[in-house]
Amino acid sequence: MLVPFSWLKEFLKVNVNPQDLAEKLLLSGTKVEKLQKSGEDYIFDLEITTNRGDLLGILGVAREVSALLNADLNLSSTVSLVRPKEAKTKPINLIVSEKNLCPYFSLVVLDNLSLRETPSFIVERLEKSGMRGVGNIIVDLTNLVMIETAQPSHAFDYGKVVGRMLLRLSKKGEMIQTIDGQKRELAAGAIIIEDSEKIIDLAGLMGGKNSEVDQKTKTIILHVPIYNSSLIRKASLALNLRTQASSRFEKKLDPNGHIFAIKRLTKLFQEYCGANVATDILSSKEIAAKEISFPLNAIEEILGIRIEENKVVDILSSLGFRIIPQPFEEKTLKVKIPTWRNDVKEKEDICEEIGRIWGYRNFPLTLPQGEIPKYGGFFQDWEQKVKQTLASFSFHEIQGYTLTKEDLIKKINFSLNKTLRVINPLSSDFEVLRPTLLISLLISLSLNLKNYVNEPLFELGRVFTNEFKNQYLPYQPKKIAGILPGNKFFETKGVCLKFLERLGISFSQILEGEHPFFEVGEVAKIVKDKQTLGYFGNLNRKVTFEFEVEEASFFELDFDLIENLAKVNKEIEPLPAFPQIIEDISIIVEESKQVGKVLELIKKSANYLLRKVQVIDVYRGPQIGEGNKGVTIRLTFLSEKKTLTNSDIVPVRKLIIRNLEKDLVKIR
Amino acid sequence: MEAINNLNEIKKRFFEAIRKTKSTDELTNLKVLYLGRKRGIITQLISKLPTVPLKERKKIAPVVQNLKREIDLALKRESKKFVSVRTRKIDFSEPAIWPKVGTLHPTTLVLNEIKNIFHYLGFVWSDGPEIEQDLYNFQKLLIDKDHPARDSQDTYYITPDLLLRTHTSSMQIRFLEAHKPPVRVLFPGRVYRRDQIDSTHLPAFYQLEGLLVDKGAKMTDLLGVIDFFCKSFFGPKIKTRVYGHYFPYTEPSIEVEVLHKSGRWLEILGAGCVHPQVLRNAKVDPKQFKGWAFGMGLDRIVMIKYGISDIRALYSGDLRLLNQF
Repeated sequence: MLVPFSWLKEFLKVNVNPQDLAEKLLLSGTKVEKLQKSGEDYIFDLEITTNRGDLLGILGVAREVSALLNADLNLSSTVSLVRPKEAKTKPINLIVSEKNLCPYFSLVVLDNLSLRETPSFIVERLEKSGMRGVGNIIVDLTNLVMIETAQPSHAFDYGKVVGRMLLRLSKKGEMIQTIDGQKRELAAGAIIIEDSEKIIDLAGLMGGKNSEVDQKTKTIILHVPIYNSSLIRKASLALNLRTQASSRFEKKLDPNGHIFAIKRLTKLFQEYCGANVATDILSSKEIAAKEISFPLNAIEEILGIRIEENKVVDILSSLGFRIIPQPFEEKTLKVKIPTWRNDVKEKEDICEEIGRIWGYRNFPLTLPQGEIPKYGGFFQDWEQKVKQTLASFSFHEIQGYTLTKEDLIKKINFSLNKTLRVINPLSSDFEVLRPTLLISLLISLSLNLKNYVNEPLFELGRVFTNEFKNQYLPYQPKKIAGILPGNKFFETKGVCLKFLERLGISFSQILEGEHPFFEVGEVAKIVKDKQTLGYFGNLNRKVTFEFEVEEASFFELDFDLIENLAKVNKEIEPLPAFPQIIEDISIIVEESKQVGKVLELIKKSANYLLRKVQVIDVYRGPQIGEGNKGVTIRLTFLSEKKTLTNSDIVPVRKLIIRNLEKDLVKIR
Repeated sequence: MEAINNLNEIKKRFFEAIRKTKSTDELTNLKVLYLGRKRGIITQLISKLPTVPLKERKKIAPVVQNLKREIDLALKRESKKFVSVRTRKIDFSEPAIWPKVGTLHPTTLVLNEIKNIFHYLGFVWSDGPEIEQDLYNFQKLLIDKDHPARDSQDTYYITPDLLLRTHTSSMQIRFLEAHKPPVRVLFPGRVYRRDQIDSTHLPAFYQLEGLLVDKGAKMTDLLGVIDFFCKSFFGPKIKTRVYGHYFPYTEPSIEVEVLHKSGRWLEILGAGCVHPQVLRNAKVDPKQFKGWAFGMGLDRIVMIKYGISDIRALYSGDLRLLNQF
């Protein structure tokens, strides 16, 4: 809302410089986005919050400023006695089909207009307020009064309206050509006005071309309505049409505002166009101000401050609230709420008025006194733990876009019909919700390979698919994923296992996996207690090539599952009290034999003295023959009760070797 | 007894020999002679121990072990004599060999900092769905389908009733439905707005909501907590200003700005006392409990803290930026 300082001063006798006023406005809750010099004048660009429809007019702003500066509001220049001459010479009949569409309005016919050029000071005011003179004084004057009072109005050319006027809801498919020349097809539910033959007004949004005033107009019907704000908003959204009028109508305007506005308009038309009033001014009945009781202790309860009663009364009165004396109730005020402040309904609203005018910078600062809530084991910040763990493995955290484009979903081999998309995208680049963290990680990896050789990346965030796991919301788990440039299956395996170990998740299984992101046979899944925690492996090169990456390894794990399995209190093995004995066994097996199976066999063959079985080397080469691999396995024996001797180990070792040989394993 | 005399003889000979050594090489030879892994004199003695009858072994074993330790110590002590003075000089200007380090995203770093500040005041945190019901994102927060406040939060819809949450305030009701007051909690997370992209707008960004519901919660507490936060985060000398504002789900509502070193006031958060109807919508009795809440744009705080002017940089995944954190 643009407010010229000069216009404001017309209603206020104040001596304040615009910078100070801007600060006062801000601190009271009306934000000044910009204060701009314009010749001798200043223009305030105000951000009006949606609850304050009254501030969408200069007069409303003047009223607010009068409260802030404790100055009197002067409306003498705007009010005048309207004397109808030759009343009832032009019949007019407006039927409102349902009162709820247009609960209040005023209507008058003005006759004998002599049109002239709009006076330059009016054009200037319009321009300073962000509108422009349209070259027709009738339109310019209705715009002027809209900016002044926040109350929009519309002038029909009397001569172009046939018979009765009916205000009703549109039916689907009805057409209107608006004054901007556009033909618009209406959905059901917009408010329109029709005469006996045609639709003449897209109410609250824009007038109809067929009843538009022009340079020859002699007689006008002035219609000053208060429309149903939600219907205006719906129609505005449906037609994608916003006007200065509609953005006011969709707020809660003063239900009595039309009464003042029509008088003001009539006066201006008499003054500048020599208009005669050709009917009585027809106005809906003025509605009475609402009253509420306001318990004074609400101030301390809600705001936490103490203010003397007379100060409270001063603040409220200056804003136009009337305090009705209550001789028998000391601790309660009866407050009459002005009709233009219909956003104020209950004691919290009254406290807000007191708080903002008293000034929040004058409030004492306190800290909450209550008990610290207890949520049980709620405190471990697993998200942070997960991130820190991966950073300690020299991964870099990135944040990628959650909304992505269809094309990228196809590129990673993901089926589009399992994804979710927004129904109203602004651009196709941000349309589909990511079903995996792979996309952003690949994009980032590809970008960084230009500057860095070997930097693994990770991201923690939500992904989305069209699966519904409960009645209301689609499945949107958090995932933790990482990418490593190159062919790094076993590094990735190490990262995954170490990562889980750090979170206290042990004994997870690595099983053969199958997943469209990865090369066949180069992907494994991690399973714990029959739940799949996620996948890792070497990415399908058809996928990586799409992102100009030759090879990369990737893992993606379900954070929600991990969070449930993670343990704060890991079991720690004590330091051994006796020395351990280490023995290495070198074996040769066929390639097809999984090393994991060999280790399992060893574990099964040994007794409790065998504490650790590790593969320390895998060798392939001519010495051991084509199709074979040599594996060196380290066995660690330990007892808590004594120093082990060879005689403790020999039988175990023998049994292991015998079982291995039975299982077609050659001992070197 | 003979064996022990023998041991004394071994010891005597060793110490004579070590006195005569003149170089590291000679010392190494001596070490091999006595402690070598297979043929060392002492090593052999120890390996033969199990064959000695138990009674004798009990006497001899500790003596042998002791001798081994003495010889070992003497060798180590003596070796220091031969450490020569090195003559090479390092060129300090040659490049360092860097450790492999990972990094956390600046948004994570700032979020951690903020969590820590509020943790001090008894706050914990919780995250919720990003695809949210219109009911929780808007209606239960008193923003009906045609409320003009929906303008400032232009919304991406998945279906007419499902949307991408436009603010983390959607968590207020969800959390209160699941947890009885008193409640002190932060809701960090991604939110979405259907905005044209520019240096300060992206379709998705981070927000952080805070909520306290308790008996006697009041505006001055909110102001005190915000002041505590600003001073902890921006430094004790930061200038802030608080003024009235409007949000449909808080009453009264305020906004807070901090004075940036550039001399401009920057808005950092919106806040207010939870509207009694919102509490009722969450099955909390507003006669018994009051609440307050605040919400801030996390990316914006990150940008202010690190002097980043384009929000897109935070989502670029570019290590040239991220490596600096």
